[in-house]
Amino acid sequence: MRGQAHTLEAVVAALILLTSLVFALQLTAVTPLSASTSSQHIENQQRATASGLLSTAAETGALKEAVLYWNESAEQFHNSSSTEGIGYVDSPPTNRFGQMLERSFDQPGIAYNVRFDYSYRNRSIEYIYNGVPSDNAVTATYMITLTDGDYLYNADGSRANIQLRDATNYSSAIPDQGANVYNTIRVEVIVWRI
Amino acid sequence: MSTDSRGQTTLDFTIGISFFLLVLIFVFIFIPGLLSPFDQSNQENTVATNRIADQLSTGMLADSSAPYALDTYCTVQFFNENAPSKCTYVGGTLEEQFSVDVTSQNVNVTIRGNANTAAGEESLCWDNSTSRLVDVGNSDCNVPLQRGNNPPPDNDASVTAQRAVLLNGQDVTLYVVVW
Repeated sequence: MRGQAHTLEAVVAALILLTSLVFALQLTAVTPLSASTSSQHIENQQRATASGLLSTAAETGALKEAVLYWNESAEQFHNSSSTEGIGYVDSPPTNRFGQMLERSFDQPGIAYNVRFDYSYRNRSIEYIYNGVPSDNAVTATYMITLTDGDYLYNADGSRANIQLRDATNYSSAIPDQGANVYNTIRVEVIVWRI
Repeated sequence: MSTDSRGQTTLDFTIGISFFLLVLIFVFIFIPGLLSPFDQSNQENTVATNRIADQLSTGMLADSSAPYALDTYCTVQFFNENAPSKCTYVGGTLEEQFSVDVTSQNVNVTIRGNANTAAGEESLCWDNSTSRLVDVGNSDCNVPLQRGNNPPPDNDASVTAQRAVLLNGQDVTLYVVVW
């Protein structure tokens, strides 16, 4: 029976089958909703929560209070835990915005950074720093405007008697870009799963 | 070994044909597994839960020009299963309000937050007499901020969406569960 001329034919036929299978695997993939640590659904929830948190903080005035939570004499933010910077490292600030962040994101396995980007020379300062974000981090932003007549805040949340136009040390954090508006800041919240 | 002039022994034939058959059977078994990511049934639950959460937090209970800031009166009436004319949503069951197919999907909407001094969040409730948010176990609770059947305890079967919203001057979290 000449069903098979050479053994080599069988081996080559099997290899062709395997090659076509590998070729067909190119069309399938792990979809974004497959269960894994970088699940798209969880990233969407984190982005929506961060966005809602920023809107809520802006509505209640907690966001502006957090930006102006500046200790003029110590030249850093109140109760700053950073040794070489002016912001907070490893723990949120002791103002309302920090409490809101802690309530939403203080769960095991979630880390967040908060950054202020300002328009003068395109610089940014790290307000809360908890490490380098992973590749699957999400961000939410909110723009607020500071004017020369805004007041700084004390450590207990009450308004201090220092206006921005008189706060010379605040320029080391966010500079005065002249004219009527002190500066325009984009508050960025970056959330990721560890 | 073989009597004719073919350059192949019986052993060669055995090895070749068994290798070929093994690969053939492996390919036939592997093909259905390639299609499994595309027929997950949870995908429609994921879409529904995100849609409902976005509708609630940015449209039905909040003014669309101020998203995530819920109107206290309309929110309490929503969880009380009323539909006053000044609120932008229409009345009905949860499934009717969100166009969810009753035969295949169930919805549960809850608001949780921190209502007392202890850490951690609990299910919230509205106190009509003092107009504030308390937790569900409190005796002053009038309208529990929860609607829908209880979600199944088995976590794999349901999809949850959460949104951070502002209610009565307090930041709370809105949870939507679809299963």
